[in-house]
Amino acid sequence: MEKEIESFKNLVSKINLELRKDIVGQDEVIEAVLIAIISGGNVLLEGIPGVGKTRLVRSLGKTLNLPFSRIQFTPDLMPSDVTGTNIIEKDSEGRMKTKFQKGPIFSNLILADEINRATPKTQSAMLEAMQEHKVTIASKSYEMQEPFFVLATENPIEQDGTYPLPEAQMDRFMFKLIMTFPSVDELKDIVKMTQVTMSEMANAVANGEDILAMREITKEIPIIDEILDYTMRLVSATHGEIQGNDIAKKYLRFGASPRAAQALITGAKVRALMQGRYNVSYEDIDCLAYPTLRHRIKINYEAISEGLSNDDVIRMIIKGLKK
Amino acid sequence: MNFKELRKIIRKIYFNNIIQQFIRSLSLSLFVESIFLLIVKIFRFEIIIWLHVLVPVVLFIISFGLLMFFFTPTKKDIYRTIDKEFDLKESLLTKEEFINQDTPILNIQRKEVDERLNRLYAKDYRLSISISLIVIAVLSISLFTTSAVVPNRYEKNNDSVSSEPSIDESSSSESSSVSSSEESSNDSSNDNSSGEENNNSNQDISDILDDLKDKIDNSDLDEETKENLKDQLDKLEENLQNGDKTEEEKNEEIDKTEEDMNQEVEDNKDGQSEETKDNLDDLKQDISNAMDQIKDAMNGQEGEGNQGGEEGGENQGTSGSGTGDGNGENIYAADDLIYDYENDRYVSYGELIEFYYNKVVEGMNDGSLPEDLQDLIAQYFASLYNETSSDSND
Repeated sequence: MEKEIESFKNLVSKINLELRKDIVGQDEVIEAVLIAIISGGNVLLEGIPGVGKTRLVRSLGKTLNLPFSRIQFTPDLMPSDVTGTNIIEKDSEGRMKTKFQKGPIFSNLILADEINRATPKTQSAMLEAMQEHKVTIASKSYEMQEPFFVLATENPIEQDGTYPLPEAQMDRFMFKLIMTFPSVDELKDIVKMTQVTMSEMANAVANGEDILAMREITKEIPIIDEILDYTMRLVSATHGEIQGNDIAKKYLRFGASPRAAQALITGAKVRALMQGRYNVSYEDIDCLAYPTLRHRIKINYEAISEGLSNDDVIRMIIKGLKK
Repeated sequence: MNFKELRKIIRKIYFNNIIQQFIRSLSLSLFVESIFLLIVKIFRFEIIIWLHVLVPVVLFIISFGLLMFFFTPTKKDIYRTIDKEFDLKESLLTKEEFINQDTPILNIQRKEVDERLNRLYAKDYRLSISISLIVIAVLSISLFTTSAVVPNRYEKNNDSVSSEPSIDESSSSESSSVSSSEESSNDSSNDNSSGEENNNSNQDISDILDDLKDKIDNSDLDEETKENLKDQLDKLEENLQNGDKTEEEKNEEIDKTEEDMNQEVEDNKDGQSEETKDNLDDLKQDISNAMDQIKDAMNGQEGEGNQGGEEGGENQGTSGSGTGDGNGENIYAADDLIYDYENDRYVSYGELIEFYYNKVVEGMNDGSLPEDLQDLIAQYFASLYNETSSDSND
């Protein structure tokens, strides 16, 4: 086990190093993406165009030596464009037979760009695959290749003609990350780097099996009852009507689902090991609370009128919880 | 593993807890004692002094015991504290919780925790007390100190009155205010504990007797009589200081001395001029007054005005007792005496009223009193004079 853990730490640091070759800044986003991919979750990424969303997934694909596909969602995109469809073709004997043509979703790393531009039907097809890791076409299921990781993006600027993801669908994303505009220094580094080449410079340092092995290791990381209880209280605290939490009652329309609790625990274990620890701490939970909960809760008009964001409400809830 | 340092840290944590519970218990006991003190002072309860020590001590012991019993940190609490203080990120707690489980990752975790614990030193753990606890302790101490130093303003005045009476020239409603102010001045002068009352009383009696002796020396008596009178006063003082005598016996002693002295003075009047006789009458009055004062000092009574039937009974005008309530009642009876500062003598109230009445009449006749007020003033003095006259006739 020590060898595996050592290998885990080495791989994580190597992956980080390689990703930093292509992505400037965005440390929290990179860390969260790594956590999500090791945990087996998916990520919803929000950011204005040009901050490096596609590049991140491409670089990740290169680093992990995993096939990568990009699906640009448009309003006219059909579900079969995503998942694939049955086509009729002639076999070698000249007979007509149906054959399933796999869609772009059959890859390890998927970048679902501007998922909110597609119709709800297409979104559902995508999200079903995300959740189930399989696609069912004409009563036949086709499994995705593990590790399967979807990084969906939402463009916060162009809202015209978009179909915002319903809350139930948002819940399927483990994290929602926000890629912010880089600082002046970071921008300078980005420009310097891309002046040399626009291609990703990351090298392959791991593969899909490594990710799966890492996933198995992190499942063993212990978490004490106290922290488990704290996590459950945190998720429950987002439900003002159930738990009576004053902040939630005042500022939230609805709270996070039990998937949030699962995501928190799984992510915390990965984070603990990534930090070189062999147990989950309160810090892990508090840190991951924001990407885990921000897309699972909805603030009400009172919060909006007070200028509070989802993160602000989460911060207040965390502050009010006793450790 | 460095058990020694860990044990030291654990001991420090226990000690820190003891200090905190000590401060809590102390604050509670001081707070309760402060309230107790204030209640005793406000409602004038007579409480034995050692109760003020017993209550907070007992309360402290009980509360400290209970706090230590219910809030002694458990092993988990100790480990939680160590995790927090040394930023171990709950690793010690994890080790403790999974101590009975044996998995590869847990073994690695334990090993890593042990290595971290080996690098801990007890000196790095600092005892800490929360600010809120310090604030509570300071507030309790302040409250206790304040309640302890607040004077017992409502204590009963059991001491005698010794201050000089003041001349009251106003109506009875004003008399009440004068008397109450005199009462307050007397209260302050009579603020003695019971243990000191006797000493103060003896001092007052000595002062009164010395005063009387001075008057005797300044009087027109012959030397032999003066010496006799002074001897009688010395003998009286001696008798009064005799603890074997009862109060009644002492009062009888005073009365007898007064009678003897007055008789001796009276005998001395024969063949004297009118002026000398008047002076000797004044001396007699002084003797009577002094004896009354001695009685008051001895008995711890506030001057209550007329002693009732006693010759030359004087109202010391020092307490405003009873009648000085602003309801229009007279404080002084007609034969009450009022001290005349200017002439250093006592005059009867009736004499004083007559004096002022004559002045009023004079003022009316020579027009110095406003006409529209003359009727009112006349009625006022008539009522005073009539009361005075009726009292004298009683």
